Amino acid sequence: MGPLVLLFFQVSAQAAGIQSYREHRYADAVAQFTEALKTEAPGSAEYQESVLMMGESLYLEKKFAEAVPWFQKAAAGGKRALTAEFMLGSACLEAHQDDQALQAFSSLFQVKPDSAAAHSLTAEMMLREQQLPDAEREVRRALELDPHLPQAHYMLGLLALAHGDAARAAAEFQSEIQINPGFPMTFYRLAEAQAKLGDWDDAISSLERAIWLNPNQVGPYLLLGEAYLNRGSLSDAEGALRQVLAMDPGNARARDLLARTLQRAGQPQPPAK
Amino acid sequence: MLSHFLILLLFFQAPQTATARAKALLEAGKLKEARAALAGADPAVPGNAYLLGLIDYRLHDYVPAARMLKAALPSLPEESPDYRETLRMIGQSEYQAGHMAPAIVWLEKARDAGAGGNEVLYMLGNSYLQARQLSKGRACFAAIFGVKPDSAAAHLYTAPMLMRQEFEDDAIRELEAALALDPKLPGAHFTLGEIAIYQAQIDRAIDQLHQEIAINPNFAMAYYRLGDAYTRRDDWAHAIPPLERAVWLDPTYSGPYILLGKSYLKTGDLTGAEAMLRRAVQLDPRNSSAHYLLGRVLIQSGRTEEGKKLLQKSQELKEGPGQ
Repeated sequence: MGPLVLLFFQVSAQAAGIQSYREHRYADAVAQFTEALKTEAPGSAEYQESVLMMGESLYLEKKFAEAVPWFQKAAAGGKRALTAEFMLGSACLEAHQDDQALQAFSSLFQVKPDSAAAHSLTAEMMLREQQLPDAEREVRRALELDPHLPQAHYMLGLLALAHGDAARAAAEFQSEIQINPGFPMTFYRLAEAQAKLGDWDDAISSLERAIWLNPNQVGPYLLLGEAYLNRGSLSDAEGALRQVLAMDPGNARARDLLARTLQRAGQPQPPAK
Repeated sequence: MLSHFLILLLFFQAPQTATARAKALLEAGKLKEARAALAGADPAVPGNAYLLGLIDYRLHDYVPAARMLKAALPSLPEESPDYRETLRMIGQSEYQAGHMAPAIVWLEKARDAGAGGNEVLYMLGNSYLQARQLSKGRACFAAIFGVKPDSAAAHLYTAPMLMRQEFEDDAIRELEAALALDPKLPGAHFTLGEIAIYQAQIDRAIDQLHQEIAINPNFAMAYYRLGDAYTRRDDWAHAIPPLERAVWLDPTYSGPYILLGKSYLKTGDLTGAEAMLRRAVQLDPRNSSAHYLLGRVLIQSGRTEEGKKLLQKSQELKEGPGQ
C-alpha cells in the first residue's frame, strides 16, 4: 500500500469514527477507531486522538472497564493528556476501581496519592457521580490524614443533606466554618439545613452572612426570599426575590415565590415570563 | 348654619382623615399614593412626621426619611419597639444616603438599643471602614460572624468588605495579619491572589493562588483564578490546565468555561472552544462575552451566519434591555 493511500485510509477511518461519535453511534465509532489505530503511527497526534476517542466511545457505551486501558494510554502523553486523566478517573469510578481512580485524580491535581488532598479530591468526584457511601469513606480517610482539611466537613454536610439528615448536616457545616470561615457556600448550605429543620430565623442569619461574603450568587437570595415569606416578612421577601430576578430573569422558582408574596400582600402580581 | 357646621367638621377632620388614609395606603404597599395623601400635612403634628419618614424610607428617599424620622423620635417612648426601629431606620437612611458620620452616630445608637441585629452591625461596620476606623469595623464583622475581633477569621472577614469599598491596600494588610495569626487559613491567599490580579501583578497572583491550592485543594475558584491570571499575560498553555481542573471540580459555574473557550480559541482548538463556549452560554444565557467568543469561533469554523447572529446577540446583551 503506497504512503498516500495509507494516509487516505487513516484519515477516512478516523473521520468516520469521529462522525459516528458525534452522531452518538458509539459501537460504530469503536469499530472505526479500531480500524484507524491499525494504521496510525503510535505516538502521532492522530493516534493519540483515536486512542482518546476510543476510550470516550467505550465510556459512553457504559463499557467502563474496557475504556480504562485506552484512557491510561491517552493519559501517558499527547495534547489532551489531562482530559484523558480525568476520563480515566471517571471510568475507574464507574468500574468501581477506586484505587485506580484515586491514582488518576491525584495525578490530575498533582498531589500525592496517599495525601489527604488525593482522598478529598476523589471524594468530590464520587459525590458528583452520586457514589455517596464511597465519597463518605474517602472524606473520612482525608480527615484522618488531615483533620483541618478545608471542604472535608463541607462535603460531609452535603452527604448528610443527601441522606435527609439536616441536623447532622448543620453540625458538619458548623465544623467546616471553624476551619474554613470565609467560604460562603458553607453558610448557604447551613441555611438550607436550618430551613429543613424549620429554624427560619437561623437560616436567615446564615443567608445574610453568605450574601455579605459573596453577593454574586443567586441561590442564597432565593432561599432568603423563601425564608422571609415563611416568616411573613413580605416586603423583605419581595426585595430578596426581586434581587434574584435582577440577577437571573428566567428563574421560575423566584417568579413563583414572588407571585405568592405579592398575593399575600394584596398587591398586583408580576407578569408571567 | 348647617353649612358652617359642615365646613368646621371638615376642617377639624381633614388632617385625621388624611393620616388615616395615608396609613391605609401604606399598609396596602401603595407608597406614592400614601405620600400624596400626606401632601401639605404638618410634620409638627405628632404622628405625621413618623408616617412621612416611614413612607420616604420605604420609597428609598433617604434624605427626607432621616429628617422626618429624627423629628418624630422625641414623640416616641424611649423603651418602645417603635423607638428602636426608628433609630435603625434613621441610621440606615443616613448610611444609604452616603452620610457616613451621622450614619455611625445613629447606627451606634440603634446597636446599643438592641435594634436591627446583624444588618445594623453590617452597615455600622462598613461605615467605620469608610471613616477609616478599621478596628471598630473589624469588631462589627467579628460580631456578625461570631468570632473574636482579634482572630485570624475576623481579619479574613474584614478583607472583602474593604475590597468592596476599593481599599485594596487595607485589605492586603488585613489578609497578611490573618495569615500571621494562622498561616494555613483557607481563603486568605486566594483573596490576596484576586487583589493581585486586580492590580495587574500577575506573578504575585500566581504565587498566591498556588499557595491557596496547596492549603485548599478542592477550592475550584482558586484554580479558576489561577487560569485567569495566566490568560492575562496571554499564556494560554499554562492557563488551560487550571481552568480544566476548575471545571472538573465545579461544572456549574460559567466563568472557567468562558476562559477555557478563549484559551482553546487562541491555541487553534476550535472544536474544544465551541464545546466550552456552548456550555458557558447554556449556564449563563445573558453573558455577552460567551456569546461574542462563540460567534468568533463559529465564524472561524466557517459557520458565518450563526456566528454573526451570536455577535449580534452579544451586542444586545452588552447594551442591556431597552436600549
